[in-house]
Amino acid sequence: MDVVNPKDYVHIDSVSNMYQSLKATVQKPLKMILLYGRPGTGKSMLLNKLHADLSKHQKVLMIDIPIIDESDFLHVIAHKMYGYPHKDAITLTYFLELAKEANYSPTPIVLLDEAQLYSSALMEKIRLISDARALKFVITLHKTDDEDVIAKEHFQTRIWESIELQNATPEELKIYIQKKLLKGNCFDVANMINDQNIHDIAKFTRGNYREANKLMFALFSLYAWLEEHQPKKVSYKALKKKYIEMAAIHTRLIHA
Amino acid sequence: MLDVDALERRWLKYKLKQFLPYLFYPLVVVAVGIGGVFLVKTVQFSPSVGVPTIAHKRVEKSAPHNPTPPPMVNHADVKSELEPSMQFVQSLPLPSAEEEEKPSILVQSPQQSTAVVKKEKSVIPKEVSVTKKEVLTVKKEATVAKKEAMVSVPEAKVKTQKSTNKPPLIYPFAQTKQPTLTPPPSLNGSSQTRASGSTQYPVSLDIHEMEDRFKNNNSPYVGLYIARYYYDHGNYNDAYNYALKTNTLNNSMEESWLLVAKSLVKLGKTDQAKRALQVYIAQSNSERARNLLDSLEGGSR
Repeated sequence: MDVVNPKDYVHIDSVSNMYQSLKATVQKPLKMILLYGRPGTGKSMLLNKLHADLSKHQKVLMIDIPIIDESDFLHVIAHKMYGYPHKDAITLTYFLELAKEANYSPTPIVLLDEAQLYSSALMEKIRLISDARALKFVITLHKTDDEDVIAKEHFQTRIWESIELQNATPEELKIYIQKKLLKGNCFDVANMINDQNIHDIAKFTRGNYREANKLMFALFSLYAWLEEHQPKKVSYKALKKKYIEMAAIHTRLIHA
Repeated sequence: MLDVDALERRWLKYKLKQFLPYLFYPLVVVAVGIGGVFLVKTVQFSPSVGVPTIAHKRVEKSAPHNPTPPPMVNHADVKSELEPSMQFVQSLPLPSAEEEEKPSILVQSPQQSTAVVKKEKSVIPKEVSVTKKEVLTVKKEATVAKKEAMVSVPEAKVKTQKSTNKPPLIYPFAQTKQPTLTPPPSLNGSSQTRASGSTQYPVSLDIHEMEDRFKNNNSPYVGLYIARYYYDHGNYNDAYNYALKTNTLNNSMEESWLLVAKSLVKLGKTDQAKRALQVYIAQSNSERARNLLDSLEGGSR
């Protein structure tokens, strides 16, 4: 299962710069901030990291699982943000009154992951809330080939700041993998990975962090099995290309 | 849990797919190479095999139009005797009246009179382009040598020359640079020359054209040619007539005088022949005419 844990955040130069830029943008009096990129480029991780960092200083609400229903959406935010006690549905007008009464400073931030799943009507309400300066929204969107969600009218007219996340370069991927291994105290394994291994991994995953995580997980599972059943086949000098390819086949990065 | 065995099989399949293109293209290249070699060999053999096939197909196509195919002719067995055409004579620049006068002057000397005979050359157009003056400057020695060569050429040799598409035409107005290859007919009264039969003439149609031409331009050379033609073909009447006409046009041509005399002899008019020779000897002091006269008087003719 793909679990996003802000503690697993790996500092990579380009991502770190982007994150610092995002943090600075959040401090600006902007109503909506868009974070977009292809799946697996680290949007959710960045959003979780932002939530972890900002929640120390201000009121921040992270909604990683989209709330499709409009009344539920308002109710959840009112409950978590303003301590609205009732389970009854809440209107937009009443929600704005609650926000006005709370009068938080700085403006509370709501982080919405997978915002492409929200309906147009709900996005319109989000726009009204942000226009009233009751809340500030940071939303993440998938950028796909089939549908350029950013082009949607809501985001096109309301987004004041947008940040695009890219796949990692082989060098960034190397740093990412090795740092993750070092974080897990897997020093020997980190030393086994050479540039050719990284080249193969980057080729199969195309620099996608999520795919790289899956591939590495399958690879280590394979090595664990080999150590147990066929230890003679395991070489600790470097990762064998064959096993990387087998892991890629297992994770469907290669269609065999 | 990983099914490593299944995964390894899938990996083998993947590697096979991965290397298949690298195996495929060399195989294609090798196949193309083999095909190319085969094609080249086929093309090399095709000239000997293919051409008859095409010819055969053409014959088959034309078969409905010609139900009875023409008899096969074996060219090796057929002795085709090429008849030289006299067509080119019409295109030859005939000597003008002035030019014709020159040989008449030159004929005064026996040496140069033989040079006139020298004008009998091959039919090659390039050689025909030689000017008249050049013809007249040919020395007697060369002419005599040519005559000798002409006499020595056997009939078989002449036929060989015909078969090589080089008809040894004897033409009084043609000039050749290789007289030995195309011996001119001798009008010198040499019995040896006549006996050899080496003198070659165009087809009969051409002689009629020559006659028409003679009627048109009254050239003594054409007249002499026709007279010689008829004499060699046994038509002594016409030979006499044309030789006489030639004498009328140019009375200093030794050949025509001799032809007149010899034709008269053949017609049984030996006395007239003697008189003609005497007249000519009186005006030209021709040695050949004298010899002929002596032979007539001696009864050897």
